[in-house]
Amino acid sequence: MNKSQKIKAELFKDIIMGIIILSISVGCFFTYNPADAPLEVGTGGMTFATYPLAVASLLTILGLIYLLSSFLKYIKNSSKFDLLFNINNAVKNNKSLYFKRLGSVVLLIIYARMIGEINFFISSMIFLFTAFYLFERRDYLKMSVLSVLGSGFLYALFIYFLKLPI
Amino acid sequence: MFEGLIGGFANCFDPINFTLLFLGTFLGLLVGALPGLSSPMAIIILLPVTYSLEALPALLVMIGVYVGTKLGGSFSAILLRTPGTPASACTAIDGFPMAENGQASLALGYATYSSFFGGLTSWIIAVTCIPIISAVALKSSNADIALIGIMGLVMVSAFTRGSMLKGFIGVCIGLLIGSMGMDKSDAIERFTFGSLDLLTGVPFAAALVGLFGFSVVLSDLSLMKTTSQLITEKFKIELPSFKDFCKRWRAWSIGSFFGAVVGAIPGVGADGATWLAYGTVKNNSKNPEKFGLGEPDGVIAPETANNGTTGGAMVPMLTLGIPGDASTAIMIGALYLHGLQPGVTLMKTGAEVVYGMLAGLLLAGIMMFVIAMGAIRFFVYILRQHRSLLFPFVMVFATLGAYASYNEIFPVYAAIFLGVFGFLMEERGFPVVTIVLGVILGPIIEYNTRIALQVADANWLTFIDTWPRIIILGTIIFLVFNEVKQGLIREKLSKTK
Repeated sequence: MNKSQKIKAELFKDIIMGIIILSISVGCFFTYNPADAPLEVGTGGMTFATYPLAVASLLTILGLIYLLSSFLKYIKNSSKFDLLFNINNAVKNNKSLYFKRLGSVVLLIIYARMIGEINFFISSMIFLFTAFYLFERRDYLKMSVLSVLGSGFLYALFIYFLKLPI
Repeated sequence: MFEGLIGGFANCFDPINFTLLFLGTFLGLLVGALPGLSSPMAIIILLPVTYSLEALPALLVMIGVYVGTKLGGSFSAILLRTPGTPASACTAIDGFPMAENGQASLALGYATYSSFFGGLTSWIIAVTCIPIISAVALKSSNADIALIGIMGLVMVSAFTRGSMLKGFIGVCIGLLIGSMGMDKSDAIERFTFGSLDLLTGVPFAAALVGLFGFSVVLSDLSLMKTTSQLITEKFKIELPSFKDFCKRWRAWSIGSFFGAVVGAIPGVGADGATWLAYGTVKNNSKNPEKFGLGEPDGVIAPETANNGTTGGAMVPMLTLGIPGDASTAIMIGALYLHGLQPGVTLMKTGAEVVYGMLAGLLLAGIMMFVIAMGAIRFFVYILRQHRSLLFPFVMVFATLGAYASYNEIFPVYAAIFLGVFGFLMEERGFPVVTIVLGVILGPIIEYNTRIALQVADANWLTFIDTWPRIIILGTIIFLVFNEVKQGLIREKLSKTK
């Protein structure tokens, strides 16, 4: 992939981000008042809706500018852009990195679920060991020792010393 | 003022506070030395540890980390040419060639000396300015506070890296996140999506942990495989003679000046200050050709500027509630989490904490110097460790930071969501600090705007009622138009290229 094609791929990502931002801002107009409260509530010339609607309007304008400028730059770039090729290329080159990122998020969600359900020491130990494995460590003895000692340290620090209600 | 400061020092010399400040500084040096882990990340790691502490001890730990990371970043910049923090990138230009020429110890010595000196100078400036600005700020009305808040947002958007458009978009998203939950004036739900958890809004700790903790981990996973190749096997700090340091007065005075001034401008942070100082010293040097080849002035200028920002950033943070950089943004969050209201009234309601923080800033600078001299070998040992051993612990601390704020799982989910979102934003060049600032300042701006309008019988002209308000509004308009103009010029230039 040459430099111009790389720029075009980056501009495509900008367009996607522009669409996400615009979706958020437009979505705000439909979700700012979930209780369907009457709009005349409020004092001093402002209602509860004035501020979020003003910010959402500003974000819509800014999002549109961002999306349009990215789109125009994308159009002006004469390089060929093959979405499927780019996705395949990115996945092929960064497979391990994407897996680590996705794995980290999944692991964090599972850890969060575990904290409230099972003992903090055990949940931290499992999390640490799995995270080491996810980050491509394969020295199992060191991983085990660090997981146990690390969890023990965390348990002592937060439960015994700081008395946090975990 | 002096009474307050003496009281602040007395509080800092409390054995527990002193120990916490020391540990914070030590951790700061350690984290700063590790490429990829920065000061905001270190403060986030410490967030759960500070929950059971009083406000001042909690903030002293953070101050220690804040000061320590500034110097820690230069260790890896000099020894590896990989800056530990973005602000240390400039130090690598001359620090690494010095190390290559066999002067690694001296380069570390210049960095340590300069960091200490920069911190000391900016501390004097901060201590002098803060009481004066606070006295003026205390007279502010609601309309003034709202305008100051807006000016802070505009300044951060304008001066932070990347375009102002991206900065503004980040700010708007932060403002919207900050407006979630029950509206405090009318008790009406906003953006709750039918969730009871969201009635109290997005937990502040979750926003901090997500945007400065998880998003950075996700981003830095790409650094996982990099290994550290040290330029030397001899690790000690060789301080330059005082006479030699004094001879280089131009470098440290320019560095200190840019550090303190630029540090006080919200959004610029140490990165901007170091490059400005380096460029100015190089341009004014009799031998500019020596820069980049191991010129000590090229280490002194950015390092004094880097630590010089610590005092500068405290000025808007402690007087107006506007953070100078990402680390002070988290400290503002910590003030909230400990029941204090940052902003113009902080000097009135939390003077003890303010003076304690200022005293802690100076003591942390001294501790940084002492620890660096004594424990450089330990920091270098840690530098050699693989990041795959560190990141899982960072993730545990960040998770606990979110969980322990409410003792519920919801803040952790919110933090993970914001972490992924923050990571995607950062990848596209949107500075996440602007989002956090929007979350912090949004409610303050809305509340004060509504009160100001109530007092003025819904007359919006109240915002141009006095000269200070006109000046603030003028500054906001100038900043916006100037940035739009600069953007158009940049666009034109890129077209001609």
